[in-house]
Amino acid sequence: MKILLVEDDKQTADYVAKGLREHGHTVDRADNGRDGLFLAGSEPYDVMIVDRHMPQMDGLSLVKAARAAAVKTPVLFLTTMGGVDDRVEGLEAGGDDYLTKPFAFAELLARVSALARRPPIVAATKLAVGDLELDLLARAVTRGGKRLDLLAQELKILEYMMRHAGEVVTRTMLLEKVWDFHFDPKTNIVETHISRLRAKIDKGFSKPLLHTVRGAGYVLRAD
Amino acid sequence: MSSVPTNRFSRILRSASFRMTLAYAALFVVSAVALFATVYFTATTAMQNDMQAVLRTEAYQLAEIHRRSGLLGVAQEVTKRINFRTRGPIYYLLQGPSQQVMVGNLPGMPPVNGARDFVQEDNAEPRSERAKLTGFGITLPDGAFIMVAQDTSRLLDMQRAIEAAFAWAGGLTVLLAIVGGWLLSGNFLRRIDTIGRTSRTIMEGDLGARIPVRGTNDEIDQLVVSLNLMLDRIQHLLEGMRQVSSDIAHDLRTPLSRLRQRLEDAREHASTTADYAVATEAAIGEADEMLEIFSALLRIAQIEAGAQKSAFAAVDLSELARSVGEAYLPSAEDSQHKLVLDVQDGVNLNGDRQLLAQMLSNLVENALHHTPANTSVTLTVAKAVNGVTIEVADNGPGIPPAERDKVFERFYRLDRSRGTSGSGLGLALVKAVAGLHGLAIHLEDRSPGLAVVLKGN
Repeated sequence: MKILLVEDDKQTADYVAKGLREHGHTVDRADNGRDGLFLAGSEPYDVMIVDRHMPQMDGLSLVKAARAAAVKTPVLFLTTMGGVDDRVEGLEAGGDDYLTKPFAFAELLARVSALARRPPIVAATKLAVGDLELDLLARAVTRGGKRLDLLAQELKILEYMMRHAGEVVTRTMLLEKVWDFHFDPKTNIVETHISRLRAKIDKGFSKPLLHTVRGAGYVLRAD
Repeated sequence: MSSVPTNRFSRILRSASFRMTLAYAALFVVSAVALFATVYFTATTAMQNDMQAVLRTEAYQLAEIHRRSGLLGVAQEVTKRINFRTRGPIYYLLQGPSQQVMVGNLPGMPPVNGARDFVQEDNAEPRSERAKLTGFGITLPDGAFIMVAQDTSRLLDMQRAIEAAFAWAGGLTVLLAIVGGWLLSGNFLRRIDTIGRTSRTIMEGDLGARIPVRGTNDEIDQLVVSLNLMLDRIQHLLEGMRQVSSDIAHDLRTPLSRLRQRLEDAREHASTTADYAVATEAAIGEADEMLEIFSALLRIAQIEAGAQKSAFAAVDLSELARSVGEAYLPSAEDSQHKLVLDVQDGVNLNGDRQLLAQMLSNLVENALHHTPANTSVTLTVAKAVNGVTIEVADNGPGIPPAERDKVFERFYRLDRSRGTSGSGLGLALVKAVAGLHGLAIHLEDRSPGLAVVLKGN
């Protein structure tokens, strides 16, 4: 994947670029908004990682300008502020996701991958991973033809994971997408829901589909 | 109070109240002078008119007697009146047609008609002591002349009495004004000095110092009461800030020293890559805990500053409460708690959805976290007369009454919770979010158990 990283803090930029390259991505770097905007307009990127606060041109202005210039590359904002307003501002400016510093690299990687492989917004009526099927209209789940009984929130988790099948989904991503929680609860609510979901979809079947990725999150995978 | 008396004296002269006193004294003196002038001239004129009327009557009576009884008759009457007149000292003079004095106790004079003032010619008395007279003269048809006169000393006595009375009163007024102004402004300055002295004491570090209140409830007293209340508020804020900073230092020292211990332990004892992996994993965990505390503090501060009101919108509280409650159902089940959702439909609130979600989360988490297994926790959301009611109640061990207010303070933790994890910031955040949304929060004893009740908006 070709990734543009616009970040003025050298240490953070080194850390992010090194990690992304280790995972086989190509990374172009800019340490200010103006250079970032120039690169964003001249090269095709799969994802842009943009810091909110930078000299010369801040991240918000960069993304606004890029969107005005019809650059459709998905944008992940990096921000040191956890305020709700900041997140909303970032999304309104044309950002697609945001991550508050400091962050775990696995979290960044999972989000970048999710952004790059955004599913096309077409109205599929059925999702399938291996022999697991989700009928979006009937809200019904079957595995190997056998009907599974899921609670509403378990269904939401499963739907999100099926749409991102094969990708690592972090605990924070689930909190945001399933519950719309943009804070970190002290209780392991994600873990308890996942363990119940896993019991329902994997128990009694020879091949598990829901895997835990240590230090990162979960992945739904058929192979 | 000033230590140098001359300094104090000049301060009194410069003081606003003293100047005002002087201005009032001057105004009083001016009005006293006006009153004096009015009284003086009115009284004098009245008395003069009265005397003139008496004299004129006497003179015309004598002229009438002359017309009827001739010069001799008048002479007899004048003699009679000089001898028998008891009513005040009235002087008479009758001169014949050739201006020779016939009878009378006044010296001869050229005849006049009407009023005339003159000094009695009496060589026995020194000139200054001679009586001043005012008279009324009539020249008769045959050339004879009658003069009736009165001593004006009564008039002068009265005038002098009025002058004296006003001189005393005026002098006394000015004296009282100055002394009163001195005393009043001295008193005023003493109270101002007390305020200044207290301010200096506070600036020198004694934050507990307060300006004494006199209890007279006058303007200065009211000002002092306001100032004292302001000082109370400032002291409270400062103490809160001091408390928070020492709490932050204290609460961060624990994870920091744990972090240090782990790293040191790894340096001394770790030999394999796996050992290092475990140590760094634990170190990251400790660092995350500290970052979590910072982020929670920052969030509380942001919320308390009211910065997030811009994100307010209509929030379906019923849907939100169900979503939060359902998120915790499996966790509650795992810790053998019974989580009950008692949520009325269609409860709406104008607010920030994210913050309200975190508030409800913290409340439910708090109840699950601080009660033993087999406790029942109920989340209630309902419409109320004046807005909404949100309640998280449990039938656990409750909180001692003395500690109920403190649980909303940052870092405050009950003694029995010290051993458990948690930052002591959960309820502080709840209170901040509630405050931002105009919700009043209080704790209720449910014997057994505790309820956190939020009402309003």
